[in-house]
Amino acid sequence: MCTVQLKKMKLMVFFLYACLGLMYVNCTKQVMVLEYQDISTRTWETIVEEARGQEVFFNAWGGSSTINSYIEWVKARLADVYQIKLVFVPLDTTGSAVTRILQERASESPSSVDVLWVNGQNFRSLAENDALFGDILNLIPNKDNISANPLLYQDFTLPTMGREVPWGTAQLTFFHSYGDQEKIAVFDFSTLILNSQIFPGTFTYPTPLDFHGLSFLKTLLYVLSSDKDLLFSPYQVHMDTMTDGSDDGFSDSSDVLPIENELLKAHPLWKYLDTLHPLLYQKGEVFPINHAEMLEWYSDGLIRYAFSFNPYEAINKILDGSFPKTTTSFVPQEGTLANAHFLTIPKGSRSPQAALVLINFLLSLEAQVRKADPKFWGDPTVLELSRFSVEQQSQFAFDDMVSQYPAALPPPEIGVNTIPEFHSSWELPLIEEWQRRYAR
Amino acid sequence: MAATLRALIARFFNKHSGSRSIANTRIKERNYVLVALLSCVLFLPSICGICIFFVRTIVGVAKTPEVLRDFVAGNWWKSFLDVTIRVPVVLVVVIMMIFVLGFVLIKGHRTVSISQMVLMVTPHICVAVALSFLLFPTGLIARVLQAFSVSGYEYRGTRIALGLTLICKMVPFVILPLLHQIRDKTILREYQFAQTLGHSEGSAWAIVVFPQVLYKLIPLLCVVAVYTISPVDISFILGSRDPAAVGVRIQQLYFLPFAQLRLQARVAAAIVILLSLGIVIGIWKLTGALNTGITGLSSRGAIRTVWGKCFGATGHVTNMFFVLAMLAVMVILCMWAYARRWEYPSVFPQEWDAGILMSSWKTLVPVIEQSIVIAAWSAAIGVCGVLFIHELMRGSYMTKNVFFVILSLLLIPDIFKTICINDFFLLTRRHGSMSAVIWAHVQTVLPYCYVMLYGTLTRFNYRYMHSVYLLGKNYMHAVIRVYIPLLLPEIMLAFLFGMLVSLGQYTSTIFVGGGRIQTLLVWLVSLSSGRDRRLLASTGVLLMLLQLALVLCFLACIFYLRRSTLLQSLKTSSRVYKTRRQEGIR
Repeated sequence: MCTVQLKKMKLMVFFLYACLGLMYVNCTKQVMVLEYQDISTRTWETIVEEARGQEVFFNAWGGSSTINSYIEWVKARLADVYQIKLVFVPLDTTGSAVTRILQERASESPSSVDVLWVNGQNFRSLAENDALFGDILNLIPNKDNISANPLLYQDFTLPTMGREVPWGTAQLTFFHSYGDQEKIAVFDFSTLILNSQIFPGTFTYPTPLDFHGLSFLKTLLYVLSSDKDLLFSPYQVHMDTMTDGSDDGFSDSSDVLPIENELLKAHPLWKYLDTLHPLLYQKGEVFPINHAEMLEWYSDGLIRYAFSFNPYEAINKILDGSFPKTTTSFVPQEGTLANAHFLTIPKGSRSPQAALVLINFLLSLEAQVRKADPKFWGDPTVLELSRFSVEQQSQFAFDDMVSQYPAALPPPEIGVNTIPEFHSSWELPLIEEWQRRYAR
Repeated sequence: MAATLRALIARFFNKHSGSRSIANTRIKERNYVLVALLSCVLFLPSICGICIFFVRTIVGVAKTPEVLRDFVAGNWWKSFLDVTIRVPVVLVVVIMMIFVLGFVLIKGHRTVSISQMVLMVTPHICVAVALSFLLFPTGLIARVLQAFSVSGYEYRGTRIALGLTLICKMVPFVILPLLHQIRDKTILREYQFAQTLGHSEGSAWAIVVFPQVLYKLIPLLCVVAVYTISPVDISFILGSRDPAAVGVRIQQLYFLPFAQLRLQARVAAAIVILLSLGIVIGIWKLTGALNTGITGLSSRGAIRTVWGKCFGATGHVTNMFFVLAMLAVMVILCMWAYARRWEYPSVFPQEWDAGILMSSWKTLVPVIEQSIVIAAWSAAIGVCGVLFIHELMRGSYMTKNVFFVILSLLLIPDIFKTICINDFFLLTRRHGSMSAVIWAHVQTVLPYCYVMLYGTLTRFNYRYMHSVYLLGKNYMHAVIRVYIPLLLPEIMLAFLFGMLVSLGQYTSTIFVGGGRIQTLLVWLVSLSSGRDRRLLASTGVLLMLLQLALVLCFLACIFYLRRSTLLQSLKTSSRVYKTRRQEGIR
C-alpha cells in the first residue's frame, strides 16, 4: 500500500472512530444524571399533567396470554385517557428485574424499571437495599378505595409502609381432574400421600427455585411445624453451620448449631417429602421447572393434581380450552398460603409521574372489575366493595359464570383456611436444603 | 516522559524521510497500532468486562468463602458432566455433516447452498419450540402413538432435542467457511490428482482432502464446542432439567434476589470459561493427532468403491432433508398458532382460530421494528469493522493472527461473556440503551462477519485495483468503483449473516438491554416461562417469517448484483478508458 493510500485509509479509520464516538455519545445521552425527584409535595393534577407524553416501562411476568392481553388493554386505555405510552416488559422471572434494579442502584444509575409487579423476597430485597421510591400509596387518590384487610399492608411479614400498592390477592388453590367415582370427600395433606399411593405419578410440584414450588414447600413447613410462631421471626442464619457437621475447612466445628438449623434439618417436612417423592410423577426424578410447566402437564393429562395462586385459574383455563372441564378446585383443610401481590416504583425511576398514574389507574374500579372477571384474568380485587354503590358492586358479581363450573372455588371459600406468609428469611435455607437433598 | 511521548507521537504521524523500505515498515507499524486501537474500541465491553468480572468474583469469594462449599453441595458437577458428554456428541455429528456436505460441494453440487439458506432461514429457537411440541410427553409423537393404541411413550429426550437444535444452529455457520475451503485451488488440485492415482471420488475426498479441510476448520469446531457448553435460550424452551443445563442454572441463580446465589452463579460462570478453555485445547490437540493418523491411511479398493456409491446422490438428499425439516417446523408452529382448542390425545386440533396470531402481530410490531434496527446496526458495524481491519492488515503476515485473535472472542461462552459485558455497562452506567445493546451484539456479530468474509477478502485479486491506479485514479476511487462493487454480493451475504446472528442474541439483549430494549427472541423466551403453546407458536411463526423475509430480500439483491456487477465494472472501465483516451487526444 502506498503512502497516498494510507492517508485515505487513515481518514476512513478516523471516520469509523467518529462513528463509534457518536455511538458512545448516544450511549451517554441515555445516561441521565441520577436525580431523585421529590413529587410528594405536588398535587395529583400536577402529577397527571406532568405525566402526559411520558413513557412508562411496566415490568411484569409475561408468561400468560390472559395477563398479557389485560396489560395490552391497560396500555390502550392509558394512551386514550392520559396520553401516556405504556411499554410492557415481559419477564420470565421477577427476580431478573429486581437484580437489575439492585445493580443499577449500586452503580447509581437511573432504573430501567418504572413500575414492577412484585411481592415476597423480591420486595424485601428492594426494601433492604433502599431501592424503592418511597411512600407511593399516599400519593394516589384511589388509595381510599383499597380494602383495610391487613394482608394488603404487609408483604411476607414486612410492613409495606406505602412503598408498594396492593394490586390483587391470592391463595394457593389446588385443583384435580378425578372422575366422580374417584372424588375425594375430604382433602388434607395426608390425603395427598394416600391418594398418590392409590394413583401413583399423578401429582408433582415445581422446584423451589420457582415461586409456586417454594410456596408449596412453605405451606408444608407451616402445616407440619409444631412451633408455628418460630416461622414468623427471622431465621438466624449461620451459613457455616448448614452442613452435616463434617470438617470441610470452611466451618468452625466449635460453632453451636442454631436452633432454627436443627429444626430445619430435622423437620418432619423432609420425612413427608421422602415419602411423597417416590409417588410423584416420574417418581420424583423430574420436577416442573416452573408453575406454568406444571399447569401444562396438568392440561395434557400427565398429572391430575395441580395448584395455583389464582382461585379462578381453573375457570380461566377451562374457558381457553386448556383444562379438562371436570376440573374441581379446593383448599386443603389445614389451609394454604395466602398473600397479596403489589405494584411498586423503584427509586431511580425515569418517569415516576407516569408510573403513579398507571398504578392509580390499575386500582380504579374499571381496571379492577376487568381484572377480577375470569373471562379476562380472574384475579380477586383489592377494593373495599362497600365503598361503592350497589350498581358498581354488581359489576364484580361473576356468580353466573362461577356457578356454571365446578372448577370454581365457591366465593365463600375464598379467603378461608388461609395461612399467612411467614418471615421470608426462611426461604433461602429452605431452597438450599431442598437442593441439597433432591436436586439432580 | 512528556518529551518521549511527543517523540513517539511525532514518529507515528510525521512523514517518513528515509528509504522506501523504512517507509513501508513505518506504514505497517502504523497499521498495527490502528488495528489494535480499532479492535480495542470495538471490543472494549468484552475486554474490560472480563477484568471486572474476575475482580468482582475473586473479591466476593474472598469475602464469603462459604459460597464455594454451597457450590459443591449444589450438585453442579452433574450439570458439568452433562456438558462434557454433550460436547463430543454434537461435535461428532457436526463433523459427519461437514464430511457429507463437503463431499457434495467438492463434487460441484451448487444446490447445497439451498440447504444452507434453509438452515439460515430457520431460527434455532423455532427449531427448539417445534421439537418441544413434537417430543414432549403430550407432543405430536405421543398423540400419534396414542392414535395407534401404542402406550408407554415416555419423553426422556431433552438431551437429543438440545443436541439437534444445537446442530441446526451451528451447521450453517460451518458451511460457508467449508465452501471457501473447498473452492481453494490447491484442495481442488489435490482432489483431482488423487483421482488420477486411482482413487474414486469418495475415497479421494475421504482420505486425501477431508483431513486437510477438517484441520483448517478446527477453530470453527472449537466455536461449535464452546457454544454447546452453555446455551441458555434453547435450554429454557426445551426445559432441560435432569440435570439442569449449566447456562439456565447460572441465569436463574443470577436473577434470584439473594447475593450468595448470585456469587454462586459467578463461580459457575468462571468454571464454564475454564471448561471451554480445556475443551478448546483438547480439540486442538486431538484433531492434530487425528489428522496425522487419517492422512497416513492407505487407500483400499473396497473403500474406493463404497464411497463412490454411497454418496452419489447426497446433494439432492441433503437438500430434501433440510427443506422438509424446515417445512415440518413451520407446519408444527402454524398448527399450534391456529389451534384454539387441542386436547390430548387428539392428533388434530378440535377448534381453529387465528385470533392469537393476529393479537401477537399487533403487540409485536414495535418489537419487530426494534429487532431489525438493532440487527442492521450491529451487522453494519460488524461488516465495516471487518473491512477496515482487513484492509489495514492487507499483505501482512499478521493478517491470519489478527483473524484468529478476533475469532477467539467466539471461544468465550455466551453466558460468561454476557455477565462480563453487563458488568462493564453497569460500571460505565450505559446499560439499558439501544447503543449499548448494539455494542454488545457487535462482540459476537463482528467475529462471525469476519469468518464469513475472511476467505473472500484473502482471495481478492488486488490487481483490479492496481489497474485503476494505472489509469490515474486514486485509492478511494478504486475502493468505491472496483473493490466494493466486486465484493458487494459477499459483503451483503456477510451483512445478512450478521443480522441473523444479531436476531439470535438472547443473553446479551436481556442482560444489557435491561428490559427496555426488546427483541423478538427476548419476547419468545419470556413467553416460554408461561408455557402457553399457542402464544409461543405464534411468536415463533412471526420470527421465522421475519428471517425468511430478510433472507429472501437479501438473496434477491445479491442475485441482482451478481448479474449487474460484471456489467457495471465493464461500463466503469470503458468509461475510464474513454476519458483517458480523450485526454490523450487533447
